[in-house]
Amino acid sequence: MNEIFCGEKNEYELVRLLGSGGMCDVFVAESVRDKANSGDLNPAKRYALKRLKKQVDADAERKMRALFENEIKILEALGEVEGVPKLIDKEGSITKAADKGDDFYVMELVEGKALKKESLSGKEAIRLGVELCDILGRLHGLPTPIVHLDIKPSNLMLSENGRLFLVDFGLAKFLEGYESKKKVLDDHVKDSNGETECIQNETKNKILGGTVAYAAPEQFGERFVTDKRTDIFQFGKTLQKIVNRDETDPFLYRELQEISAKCSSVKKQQRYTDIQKVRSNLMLCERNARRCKNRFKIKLAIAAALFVMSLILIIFSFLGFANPLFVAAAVVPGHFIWNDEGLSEDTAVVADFAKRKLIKISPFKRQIENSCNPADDGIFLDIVKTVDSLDFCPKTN
Amino acid sequence: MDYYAAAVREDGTFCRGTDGLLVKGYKLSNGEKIIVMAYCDKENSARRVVRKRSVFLTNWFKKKVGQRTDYVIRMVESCCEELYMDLNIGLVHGEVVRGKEIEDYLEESMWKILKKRRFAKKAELSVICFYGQKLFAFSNTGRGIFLLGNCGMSEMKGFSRLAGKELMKRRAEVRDSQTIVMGSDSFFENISKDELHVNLCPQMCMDNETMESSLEELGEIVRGRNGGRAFGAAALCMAAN
Repeated sequence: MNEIFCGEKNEYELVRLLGSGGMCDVFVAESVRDKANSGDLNPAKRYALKRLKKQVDADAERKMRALFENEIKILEALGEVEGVPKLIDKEGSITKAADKGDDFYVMELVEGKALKKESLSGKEAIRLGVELCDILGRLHGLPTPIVHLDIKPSNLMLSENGRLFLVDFGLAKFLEGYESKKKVLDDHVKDSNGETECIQNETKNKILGGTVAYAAPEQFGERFVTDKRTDIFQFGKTLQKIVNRDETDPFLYRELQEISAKCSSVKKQQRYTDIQKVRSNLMLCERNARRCKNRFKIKLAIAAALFVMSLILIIFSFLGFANPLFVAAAVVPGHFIWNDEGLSEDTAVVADFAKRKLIKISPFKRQIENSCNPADDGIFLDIVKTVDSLDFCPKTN
Repeated sequence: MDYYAAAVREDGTFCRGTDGLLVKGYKLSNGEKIIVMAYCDKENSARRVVRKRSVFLTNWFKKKVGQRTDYVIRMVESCCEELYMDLNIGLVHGEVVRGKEIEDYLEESMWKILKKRRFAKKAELSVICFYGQKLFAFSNTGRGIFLLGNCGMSEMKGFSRLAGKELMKRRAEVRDSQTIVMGSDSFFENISKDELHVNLCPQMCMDNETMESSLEELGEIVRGRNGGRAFGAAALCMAAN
């Protein structure tokens, strides 16, 4: 691992491999100059060095290089934006590395880990969500706005001091035109008998921006028309995936789901128009959940009290100790409260949460799951549409 | 893998539709899923009849064709039910479900249906079955099945004709994030690839309701363009989790 890479400002020595993707390898690197000046007590500062992988296919190589150059261009434009690793250096014009044909750039090293699916509690997700909104707000608020277009948990780095960083700007683009930054992915149909070529060849040349399960609908297909709302869609998907349902208060989870659902509406017009609106809604999320919870408790208490009271009054009225008017006075409001839609929704949320908890701790997981979802067995899709057969049935008298 | 499906089928302004479609998903007792999708349509001379004769005659003719299509779809449905029952009974007795058995069963059933006298000449029947990662497609014409992947849209090709049978087969492996669309010619002729992709790409298919509304929107577009012809389409999405 003693390769030396010569940048425009400095030379860098690789320390270890940090990660590897389809397009690039990322290494931890040290500046040669800093290393010479540093001692044991004051170790040299470390950076992340991203090197473009060699591709066998010349066409793929050209596309990857274009993406890589785009990433450098975006990082240069971003400069000192908080929450994004800064570009430190890039490949020099005449260097040893260039002789080898390596493309690379050096950026700030974020010591930490990428977020994972279902890894955060609701409160933690809100904190990081707000932080991500701030970062996206900065990107969208630049004189020439930049959209990231590949927001997903693995591109969100949580540093050791708890700060969030948005990385991987390979697909990002400036919002001035609609030119596309594309990423080639394998087609999703493969043949067991080697018969797939027909499908693959047809779709091989077509392109996709984003990651499956996070990319917005407008990122699919040949026509690329993306704007800030594409980032908002991906934010919603990411928020949805990182929250661990079991560690989140049911009311808070519901609020978060509502926000993420609105963010990731399939139609652009139904999404939030601005990331700041998402941020303000996230900030209010916890308060709204608390209010809902309190309201539910109060309603439930009143309903229970009225139920008991009306039961007692009914018995008393039968025994002749109470006036039936009092019974009506207790039963009527009770009836309205019990039939309240809000209360029944809240009850369903709490019941669902309790069921999940029960399943988690119970030794009879399978049985409970089956009893709770009886419709899971048997037919789960049933669509038959033909000429209406009833028209042709002979009439019987 | 989660599966979502939707279908649209509408009669024309003046004449009936002759097609039929089916999407059935079964969950076996071992938790695995089998999904069968079928589309049947008759390439008939109805338009000629409309020009030369009356609308009443056309409708009568189409009604008869529609009855035949209905019969074919019901046959496919009963085959699916049988397959599901057989597999479940096998599972109870400790047998292992094999893709090859399902494929053979479907091949035999499709051939039986195609041989029937009530299966009209010039009719098209396409049946797709998913079992886990495996896809078995059967068709007597080998056309009219479209795949909407993340990278675009393409027609499923590469069917191989079975020896001694008027039946074509295609075997493949699928992963998630794929939508399969089957439909009438009048549907595909009046809609662009982009429109299909924008409305039915895997990312748009979040649940059955969303798919249904997307397909209905497409139906609206088709209705406005196809000059009152009947149309039908079914879509099935394998969603990415």
